[in-house]
Amino acid sequence: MNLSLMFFSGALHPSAADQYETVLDLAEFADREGFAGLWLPERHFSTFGAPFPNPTLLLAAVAARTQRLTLRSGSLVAALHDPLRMAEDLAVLDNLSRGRLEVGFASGWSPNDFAFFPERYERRHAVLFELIDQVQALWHGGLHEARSGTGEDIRVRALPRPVQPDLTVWIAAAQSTETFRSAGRRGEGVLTHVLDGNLEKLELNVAAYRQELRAAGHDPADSRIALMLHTYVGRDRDEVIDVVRDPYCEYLKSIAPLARGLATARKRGVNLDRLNARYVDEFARAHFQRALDGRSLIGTVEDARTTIETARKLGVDEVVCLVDFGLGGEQVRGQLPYLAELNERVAQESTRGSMR
Amino acid sequence: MTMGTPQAGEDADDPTRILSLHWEKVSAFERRPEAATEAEWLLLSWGPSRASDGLAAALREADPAVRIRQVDAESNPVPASAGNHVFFLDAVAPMTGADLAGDASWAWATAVVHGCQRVMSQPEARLWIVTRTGLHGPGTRDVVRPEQDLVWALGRSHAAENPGSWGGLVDLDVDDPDAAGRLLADYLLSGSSEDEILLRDDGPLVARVHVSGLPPTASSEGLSTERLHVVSGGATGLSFEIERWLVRRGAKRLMILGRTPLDTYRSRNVRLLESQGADVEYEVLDVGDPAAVRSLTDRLRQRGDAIGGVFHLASNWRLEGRSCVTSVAAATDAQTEVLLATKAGGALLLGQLAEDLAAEAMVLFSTAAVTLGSLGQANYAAANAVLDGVARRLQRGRVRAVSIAWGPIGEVGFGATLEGSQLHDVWERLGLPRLTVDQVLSTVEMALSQDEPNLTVIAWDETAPDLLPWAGARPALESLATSQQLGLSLGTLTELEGEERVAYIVDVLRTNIAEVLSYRPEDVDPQGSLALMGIDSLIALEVLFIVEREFGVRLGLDDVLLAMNSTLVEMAGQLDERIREVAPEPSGGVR
Repeated sequence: MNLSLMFFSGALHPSAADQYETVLDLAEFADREGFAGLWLPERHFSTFGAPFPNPTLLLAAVAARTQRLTLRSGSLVAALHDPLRMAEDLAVLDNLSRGRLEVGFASGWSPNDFAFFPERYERRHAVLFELIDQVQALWHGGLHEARSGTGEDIRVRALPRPVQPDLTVWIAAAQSTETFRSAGRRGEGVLTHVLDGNLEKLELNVAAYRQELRAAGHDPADSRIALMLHTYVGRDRDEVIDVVRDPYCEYLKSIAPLARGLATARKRGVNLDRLNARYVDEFARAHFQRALDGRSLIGTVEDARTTIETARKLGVDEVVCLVDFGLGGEQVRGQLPYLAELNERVAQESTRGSMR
Repeated sequence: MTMGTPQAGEDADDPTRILSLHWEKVSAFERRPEAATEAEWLLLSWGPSRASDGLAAALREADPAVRIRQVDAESNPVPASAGNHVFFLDAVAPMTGADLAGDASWAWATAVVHGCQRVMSQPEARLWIVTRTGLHGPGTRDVVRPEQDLVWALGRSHAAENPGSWGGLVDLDVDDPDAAGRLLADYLLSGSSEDEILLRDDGPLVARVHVSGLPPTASSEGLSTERLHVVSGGATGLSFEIERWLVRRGAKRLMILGRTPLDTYRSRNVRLLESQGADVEYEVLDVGDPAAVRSLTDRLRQRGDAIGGVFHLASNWRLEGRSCVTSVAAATDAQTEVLLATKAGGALLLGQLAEDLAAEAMVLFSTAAVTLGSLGQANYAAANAVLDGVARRLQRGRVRAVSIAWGPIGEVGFGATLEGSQLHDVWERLGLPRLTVDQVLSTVEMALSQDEPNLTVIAWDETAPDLLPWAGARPALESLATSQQLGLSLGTLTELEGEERVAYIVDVLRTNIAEVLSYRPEDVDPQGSLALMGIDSLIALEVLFIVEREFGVRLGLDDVLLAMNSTLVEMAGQLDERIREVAPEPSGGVR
């Protein structure tokens, strides 16, 4: 079992510059303490996640400040980018980090995000895998069919050449068993969450993933399931809950307007405009309760270990500690000693587990 | 359903609704045969209108027997007519600050008011108004006329007051007068009930007001505390509430614009702001006076002040001690001019100030009567509508601008006066209860962090006795006319007993959940776990809405989320118990 860190929504400090400083400090922390990786998201046109329009760019800064950590986009919304551009940028990152890059890709869901390539929105699920295939082909030195400025059909290669022979890919999936299966078939990892607490569903999805992985002839040991969990660890459970409750609920409420886009993405008839403050309050409270109820790393180091053990039994290979959910930068930094302790304990247990 | 609708008491929902106007593309209007000759056409304009010529040509082309009179109302008397009136404003020059100095500056507007009054008094007559704002729908135009939003509010009130003589509002975004004439003729001869139209080269769009309990997506941050914030409307009423709010959220410097020098009460308010740490300047200034606002702009520029928010709340609605606020039919020119001078003129001038000084943001305080129409508030709404136009104009430039059209606000300002209070009682019966100052302040905060230039904010009470009676006749307001029906499946349910009831509930839920999940109903296994069907908390919310709509029972989200681990049959059983608790057995009939 590995632990990694993830940023998700920002809002750590009033200025973006200060937020990046916190991101980079936490990256150094994760590097020093032997966390497996650092994930940075891609978000657009909303205060929610405002510091993160471009994970590739930020990861370049992370590369310069770290030695061991793997750099992960979590996730790069492939359909919002040109494949050539992605292949070039990712190869630069792989060189900057001397081969520490792994890429999480997502299909995207917010219709407004598709301002970059509006025509891709309808086919975004299919487009995701087509674009990953193109990026992979370019990563392996392949030629990309394109058109020149003078209208000729040409074939171009992306440069520089990356350090790693193969690009490790993760696919973002919520609950869709189909996405888990596709990732398994393709031998890619899955980045998922249990915001809704459907642990049973996750177990089934992991089983489906592994079945496809084997069936497609991949090594079962290559199974990679990363589970995002909201994380704030401290000395005393009640103190932790006191710190986290209000910021967490406010954070969930700030997502509510975005949910309209999600409902559109799911092509659903029910009108989320009927949501009002009361529903949103209920939604936030219900979610917070579920989070405390073993679906997050909010609590003591001991609480967190219990949850991680549950995740391990479900087939999870990596727990992704999502640290920015309405908490201020100072609060996020405040938990670092406990996070370090948690990581060390989990690492020890994993070593013991593998010797057994 | 009476007892089954748990809306009373502390369980009541937050009634705040956010309304925004959207333009939807529709297919071209189709002309009805013979429509051109059904009545005489009186094409009025303010100045020589090329669009009017275009329409006249298109009508003659449709039927040479058509009877048309074209009259430039700026320089000619308007004849009486029992026919179709179309009033063109495309030839009116865009207003500039200097125009606002003269008494005649709003003459085109009062001419349209007279046009409304004329058709109201003529049996069979109908009126359409054609504007050229350059500010509706997407895209940027070189020439814009934010002030023409005025007649949009006037028209909406006309529709509410006297629907029989109401035709519609058209904003023309077509340069070629012949093409404009043809598109207009298509619409006017179609007999369409659509009455808020945007005509563009690529076809017509119609207005629809979207209603939401949720704010738009937040896309920016609030105001800088270091900059100078400018508030019109003096140191009293809602303006004072905004000033206090600004200081509470850290504003260090305020400039308050008031029409009259500080009296004892207002001086105390200013001291109160200062005691909370703000540096306050009070300027005696009429925001409707172009020279005064120009000189303020120059002074602020010379001082090198960075401007934060410009808040326009000033409003003058009294003439010789009496309220000027009235209906379309009763409005006099003097009343209309009083209302326009401060509210509309002030918006245009302060908008210019905000732009010239590169203010961070502008917030304009308007009334929901602009969006919804009104009975008895037409001229006030017309003046406020200009604020919408100003906000949209600024939004296309560098100043983040938003006009907020408020439902009745109870505690302060106009709402605290006798006239205001009486008017607000009417709104309450129409489904718009009073907003509190706290609701207003939290909405301003929200409005500053999003990108819609025009928001309407109301409290909405679907159980009001005379729910916005004209909404049903106005396609733009259809989302307010159809109130959510509750308990659709209860009729059938009460005729069933025992296991049949549960089976029926399962059936209803299964059909609806299948639709939400894009499954076939038979793919939803009533004995399978809901969680495994892929129901997440967002879908759970929708299940909540479904249960309320079908059975009139309001479940908590916690209930639904807990039920996720059970089956549809189990959920239906619990729901059945709940329905029996809240709805008594019908007293007669079935058994």
